[in-house]
Amino acid sequence: MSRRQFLTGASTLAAGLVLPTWVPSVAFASSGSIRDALIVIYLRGGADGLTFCVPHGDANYYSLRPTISVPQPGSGLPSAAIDLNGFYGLPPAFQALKEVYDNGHFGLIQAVGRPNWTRSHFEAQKIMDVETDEVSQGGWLARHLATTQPLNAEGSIRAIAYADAVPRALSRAQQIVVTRNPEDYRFNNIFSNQEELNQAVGRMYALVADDTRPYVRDAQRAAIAFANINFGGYIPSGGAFYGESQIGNSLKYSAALLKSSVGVELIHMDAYGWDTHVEQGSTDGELHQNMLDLGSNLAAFYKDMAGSNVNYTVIVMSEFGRQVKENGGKGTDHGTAGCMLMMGPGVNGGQIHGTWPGLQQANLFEGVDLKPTTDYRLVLRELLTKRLQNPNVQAVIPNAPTGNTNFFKAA
Amino acid sequence: MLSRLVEDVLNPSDLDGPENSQDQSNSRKISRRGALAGGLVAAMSAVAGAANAQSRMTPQRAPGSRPPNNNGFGGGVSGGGVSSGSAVYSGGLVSGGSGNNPAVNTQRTWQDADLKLLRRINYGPTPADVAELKAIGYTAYLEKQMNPASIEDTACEARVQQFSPYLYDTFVTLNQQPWWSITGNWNDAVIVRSIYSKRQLQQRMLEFWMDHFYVDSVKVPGPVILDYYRSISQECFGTFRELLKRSANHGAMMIYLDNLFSTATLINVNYAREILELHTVGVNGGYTEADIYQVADAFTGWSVVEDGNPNENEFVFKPSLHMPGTRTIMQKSFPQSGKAQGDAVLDWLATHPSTIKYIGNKLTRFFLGKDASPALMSKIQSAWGANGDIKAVLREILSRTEIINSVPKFKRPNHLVYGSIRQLGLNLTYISGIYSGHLVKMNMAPFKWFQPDGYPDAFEYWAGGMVRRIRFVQEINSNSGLIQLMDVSAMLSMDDAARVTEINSRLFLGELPVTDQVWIRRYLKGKSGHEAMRSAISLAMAGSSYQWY
Repeated sequence: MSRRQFLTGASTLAAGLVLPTWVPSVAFASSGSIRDALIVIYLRGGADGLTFCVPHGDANYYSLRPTISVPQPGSGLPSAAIDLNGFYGLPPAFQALKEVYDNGHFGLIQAVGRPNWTRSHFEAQKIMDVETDEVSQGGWLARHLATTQPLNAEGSIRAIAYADAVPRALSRAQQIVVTRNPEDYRFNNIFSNQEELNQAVGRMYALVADDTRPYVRDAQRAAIAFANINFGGYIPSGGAFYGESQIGNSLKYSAALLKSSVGVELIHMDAYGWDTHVEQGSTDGELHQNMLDLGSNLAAFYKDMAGSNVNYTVIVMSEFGRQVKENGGKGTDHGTAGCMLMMGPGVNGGQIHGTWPGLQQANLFEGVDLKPTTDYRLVLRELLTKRLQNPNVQAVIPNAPTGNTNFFKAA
Repeated sequence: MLSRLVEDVLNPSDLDGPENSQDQSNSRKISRRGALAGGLVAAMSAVAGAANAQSRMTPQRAPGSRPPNNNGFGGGVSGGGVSSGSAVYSGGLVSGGSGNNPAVNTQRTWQDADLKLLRRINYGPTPADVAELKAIGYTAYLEKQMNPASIEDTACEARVQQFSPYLYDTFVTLNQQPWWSITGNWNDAVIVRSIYSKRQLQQRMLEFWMDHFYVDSVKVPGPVILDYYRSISQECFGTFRELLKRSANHGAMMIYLDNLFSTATLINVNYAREILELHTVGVNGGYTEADIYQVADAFTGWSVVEDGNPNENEFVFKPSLHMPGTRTIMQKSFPQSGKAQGDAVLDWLATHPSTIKYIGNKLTRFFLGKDASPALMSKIQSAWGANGDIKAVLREILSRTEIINSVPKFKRPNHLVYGSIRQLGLNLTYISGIYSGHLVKMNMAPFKWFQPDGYPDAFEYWAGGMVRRIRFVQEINSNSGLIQLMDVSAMLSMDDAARVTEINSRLFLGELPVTDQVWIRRYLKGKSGHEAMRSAISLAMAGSSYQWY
């Protein structure tokens, strides 16, 4: 067998193993198209959308949540909601985002969900991350990468996940790196012949017939790309100040990465601590602290990126919202509809999207939950089409509903 | 032929294929930069095409090694995902999967069934483990491992006692200690036993059950975790019914899943949901949202002793908080009153057909890397019996036939850490170095997962940690590590073939694929000295053959 024959055979076999069935029908966007860098922040645990986007104009909100609601604007309390449109308000923890909202670059989508939804964290997360019945086709963000040309053809790494391991939304993606701290993302320099040793490791992986190989390759490429970025000494623009938290650090590193144009165009971060069954503290407790962390760091990122020429969109999502009525522990149990947040120059911000389903008993989903009125896949669809210039939305979010929505500006 | 291979490696421009072209353009850029470790990418892209040469060559086989598996090449060079001629971009998806669709690792086709069993039930088999298995045989060895009390383990337990002095103290005594000292006690006990215990299968089972009935140490106080750990560890080979009851009758679970806040006046369904979804019948087990609320009602009053008491946080049933009334769960009526109602629910769930299926598949994936076949599932269902006989179920899952047909698994970080130290024979004198230096950095410290589903057991999840994994195997083989190094002096006087054989028998039970042997031998050429031997060992451990089992 000649080398050429061997390689042809190998690539055919590899294609059979690797590529999902939809790939042959994919048409790529023309190279050179401009799309936003995307930052996805996933709030694990089911974030309480009724605190993110406070329906202070609905009296049922206060009667169903006697101890954990955000007080009405104008109540004179320091914990009062910040009014947005006379009906909805932001919790005080999102104070920093009010300015971004007023600039039209921060928006909220209330009562987001999906038909036949589940109150199981793990099922809901799995479905949202994968977005297909076939787990073998990887995560939705992995399919987005697989169906688009790299934004930067010179770049070696397209996506970074601030996580302990590969997030399912990026499962099976290539040219990705997973780390909590890109500053520390490097190989050792502990043996006197370290370079030779690393080369030997690379050679071993070049020949192995298993899925470990692309991860080792991507790890190495990322280590090289990151070595040229001064993460530690990065100074944010516009007087932006990031908090010393996981979200703060991740957004700060993201700004440094995006500005350095190494090719990273997709950023994923998981935030934990949103499963507030007990003592949720909408204005003074755990939930308040988590929202403060999220809101102030998002606002810092906005300020930091304002002077740059990087186009970006941030979306914040969670697997579900929480029950309307508070439970026995001054917390909330798993619910159905939640709230999505979006930020960036390309979002139709300064408004609250979505239809308010109402909180009267008859309007509650299964008698207990906020009823979903916007399928979150409509949001992702439009995001992929308008901001990410992906012509293969059907491959990324299969069987998503279509609708005449206007969450994002046309690019 | 070896020289031919080297030639191919060094002439990447000779290679075909769009993927290689792409890799080359990157690798050239990288080499120009002269980044320290840039060679890795260059080498990977260069060698990808050299498989041809490799498949033709006949390397000198080290004594005791097995023939190469020729299916290892070409089939899964999945990095690029390129097929020429159609509009497919190289940033395709990595193949592989979980559950019924295992991740692809075609190279690891271990031949010897005895050794294959050993890899599954032992974090890192040593020559002594191999010798014992070969002496008494597959079945007897498995039976012995399933009866941990029959295995003399005094050396390990002495070590445990040294690091975990409070391990056997009463709940009340534990509550009197500073929390940090107790935390160290269970951490160190898990780490020390996983590495040094001869009761390896018990540690593997404990890993499984602690993930299954997961609680985390952020929310649950140290003394409670320690007591929970020792309670579950006693029942690793008992019955599922008893395990389920132990988890439910413990403060750790009541605290972790908020059941102490669930009362007759206002319920909290957190624990009730996870009993069904995670602990017993599974998410597709046939229950409705209403069933969850019925379970929650049944468990009102299951709580913990109030703070301030000597036995604070110990499990207690509080009758005044229990909501009276009959429950109907999945069409089954539970008329009992008080705590007996929750007990009856657990008894019923422990042998529910969905539970058997869910636990049976999960255990099968843990040991065999794939879901149970219908034939195996039918055997598991028979073996389950009236109480969920764990030994009987394990005999089916770990039968010679099943083990032979098992598929490769990617070592989770804890597995890699414990197994490496065990196989290298390192004498740990400072456990925190392993804990904070490696387990925490690889994101798998005991009881530190974020969610009640326990640490994931999937290649796709852990594959992003390759940098840390490679750093780990290098660090424990270099002076930069925090632990005593392996004594490699015997290797210094050996020739290269014997050195490879030594690495092979020590770390790979004599089954290191010949291709890997060639790479290690090539690396060793012309090298001498302790550091070189250790770096060669790290090379073997960084390779895919060691990262999977």
